[in-house]
Amino acid sequence: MSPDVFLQHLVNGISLGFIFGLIAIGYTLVYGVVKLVNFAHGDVFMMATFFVFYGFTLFMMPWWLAVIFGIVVTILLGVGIERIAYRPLRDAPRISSLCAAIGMSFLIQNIATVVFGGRQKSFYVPPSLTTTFVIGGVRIQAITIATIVVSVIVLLLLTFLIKRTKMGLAMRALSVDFDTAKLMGINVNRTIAFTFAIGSALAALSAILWALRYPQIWPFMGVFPGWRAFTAAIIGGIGSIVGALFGGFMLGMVTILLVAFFPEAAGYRDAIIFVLLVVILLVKPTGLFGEKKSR
Amino acid sequence: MDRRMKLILTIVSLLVFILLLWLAESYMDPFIKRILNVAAIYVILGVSLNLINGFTGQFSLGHAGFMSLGAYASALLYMSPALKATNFFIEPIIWPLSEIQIPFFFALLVGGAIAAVAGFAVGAPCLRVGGDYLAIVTYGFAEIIRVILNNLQNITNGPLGLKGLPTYTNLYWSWGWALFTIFFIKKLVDSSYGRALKSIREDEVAAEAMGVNLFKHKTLAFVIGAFFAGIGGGLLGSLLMTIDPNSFNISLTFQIVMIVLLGGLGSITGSVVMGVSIAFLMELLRFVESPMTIFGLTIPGISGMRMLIFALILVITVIFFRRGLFGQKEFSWDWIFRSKRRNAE
Amino acid sequence: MSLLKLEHVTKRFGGLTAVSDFNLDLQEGELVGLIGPNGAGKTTIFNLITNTYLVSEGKVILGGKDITGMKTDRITAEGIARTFQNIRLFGELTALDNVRTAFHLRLKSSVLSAVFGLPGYRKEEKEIDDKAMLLLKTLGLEKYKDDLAGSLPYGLQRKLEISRALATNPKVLLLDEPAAGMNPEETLALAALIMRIRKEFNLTVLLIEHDMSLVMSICERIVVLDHGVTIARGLPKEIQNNPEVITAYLGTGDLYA
Repeated sequence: MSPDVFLQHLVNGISLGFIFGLIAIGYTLVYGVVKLVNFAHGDVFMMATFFVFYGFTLFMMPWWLAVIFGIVVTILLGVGIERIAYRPLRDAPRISSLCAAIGMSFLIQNIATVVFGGRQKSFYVPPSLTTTFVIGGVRIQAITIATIVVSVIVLLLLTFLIKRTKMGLAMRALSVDFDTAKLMGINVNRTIAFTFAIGSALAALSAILWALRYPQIWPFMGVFPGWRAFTAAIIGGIGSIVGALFGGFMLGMVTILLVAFFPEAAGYRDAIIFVLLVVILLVKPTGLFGEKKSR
Repeated sequence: MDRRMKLILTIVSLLVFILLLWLAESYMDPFIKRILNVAAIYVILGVSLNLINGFTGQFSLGHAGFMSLGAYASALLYMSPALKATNFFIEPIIWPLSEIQIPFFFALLVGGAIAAVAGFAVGAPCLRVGGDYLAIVTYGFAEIIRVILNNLQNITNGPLGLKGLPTYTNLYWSWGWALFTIFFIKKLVDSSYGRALKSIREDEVAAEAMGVNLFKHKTLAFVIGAFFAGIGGGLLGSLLMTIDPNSFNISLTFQIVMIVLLGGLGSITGSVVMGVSIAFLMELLRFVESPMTIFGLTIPGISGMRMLIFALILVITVIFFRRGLFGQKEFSWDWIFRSKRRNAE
Repeated sequence: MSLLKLEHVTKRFGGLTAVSDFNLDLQEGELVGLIGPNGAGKTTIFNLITNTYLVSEGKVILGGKDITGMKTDRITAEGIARTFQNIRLFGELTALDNVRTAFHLRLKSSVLSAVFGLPGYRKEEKEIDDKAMLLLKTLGLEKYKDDLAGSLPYGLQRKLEISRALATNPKVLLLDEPAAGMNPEETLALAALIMRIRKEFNLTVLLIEHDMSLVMSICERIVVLDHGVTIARGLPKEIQNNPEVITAYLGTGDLYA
């Protein structure tokens, strides 16, 4: 393999890694604050693509408006799920909220199947994003670059939000010690809703980037990206944003390089990721960047 | 009421049940028979999942994965070499499998055993870490199994699946296994081992401090659950006559989770009642919807409405009726007669 | 004879040293009190003995055997049982089942023999039943045997937790604030109970307690912790008059508060 082609795969892997990373951060943020594996996250991801799709085709919005519309509606959906299904169970045994999350995932998939239909739909990709640049022999699609640029901007914004704003401080406080933070007068409901809003916005954004890359959308499309991203979050150490991003990169690279070097094994890529997950759980259960338990 | 009386009642009702099975098998309409078979399989699946989720307090979403392992493993063992040859026309099946044929019962056992081994391999790492990861990892596992089944062309026949399987499954097999599952798991949860499992559900820290080996007992529940899921899968495969990697998808797991949650986490009675009810409800709701789908399992787009209704029921139950229909209560003769007496007074 | 020995045990959580260089030599049959202000590291020491927390440095030795780092359930099997500061019963199980669960670690029958009710298992189960009932009787809980543990009143829950710990057949019993939330009469009864079970079951007891009247009346020796450091050890009388101990407690009130 020539260095050019390798570089091309590398850039592809980075861009895919960013997408996984953005989804994974959604899992990690929510887990950090409410200690819940938000099973419906992958389905929120899926819904975002449909919101954009219908904004564009049904409501005849211009493309950029459809994207904004999609993100906003997805945020409402994510916050709504928390309000309806998770908040009433916040003080219930943890297994109950886990059941609620699984139930919501099931519900959203089936609502999507009934309302949108089970067949694949083509997601509109603006022609400007499909153009291919050749930089020093390396062929890179515009969408790949756009993904990287958008992700970096979003991550910078997110870092600012978490490190420098009051809301971010509240989120961090809740994730360190829920009960004490509550006693210190942090508005728990608002902070959690905000966390879900951020998580959903990230899901929507990554979903759009994903759909621009693989422009087929259907009600179960969120299952695998969602699962891979969760794996990324565990590999990085759940609760850690840097870890989630790193895990995302790792999976992005594994996926792309596997397809590049061992095309015959490409069908097994999720199986390989799965084995990776199991090995990480055995060797370093708290993940690469996870905090050590006090044990 | 004394023990002997209860024993007699149990034996009499078992005999009545067998008589009913015989009547059903001999005279019932094939359509109803099919539903009754599915009901038995749902009972097996619901009760075995309840052992993991309800009694031990761990949350597995791997049941469909274990079922497909059981279904494929047993089918490849009970299919005749000639049938395998016709099925595998793209790429022939690998050697030992191409020659082997063993009786249905043993094929089922092997299917269950393979599911149990897979259960150990998947469960052990997560169970060491903590319950939360089990749900998501087993969820992934079920999907991965699908990927693998699709790709192992010379063992599983890939996406084409296995067709024309002999229908060994009848009411005796299915309900026989259902009764055995109920017996096994009821006896288990009432035993000293069962108390250890329940103590883990109640408080892991205290359980460990009282000498309960957490890893051993969680794994035990998980492996037994996976075994019966494999048996259920084998029975279902032979009932459907056709299996492919998509026969056992995540929707199927959701249905089983629903049986457990609606019946009550920690109530075998609840899982039995809901297993049978859901099998019939699935059919009743089919009339509401378009009659196009293949029996209950593959859920193509058009039949979304039925699953949507189920999903709604599930979510409402989880949020508002957390304990399900039976909570942790169990059927017993005492309970029946006590409530009767109360009514008479 | 020395039964439980802690040598230079230290526990650090990140930068915080919760327990530093703790030493203890429990003689067989002794009843030793472990006291100190809130956050002194008393419960941490229990968690280190049972390996609920990993020891950072030092050794835990039971009857000459090094049990440092052994799994918690194995340590229980070796003969150390405990109760918890914030009662941790199996709430949805009956009082009897709570106690029976603690006998499980000595069960020899296999899963299959339990499921199929083979004679060997039936005999063991019968023994468990009898012993569990006996224990409940010893602690005066027999009429609550079918009540859910979570629904029992507080004082009975404390007692049930002790009987559950006794069911593991311990050599050493670790009691974590058994008198918390009890009134003086109840505390008095508890003192009598501890003395009685200690004799009846040949126990060596390590007791964490805030109620000084209880500690001073039943403990033979006392170890005082403050901020993870042992500041005094000796007979109850010596501890009462130790100026350092009094200073440590002044922040939190009088010794007899």
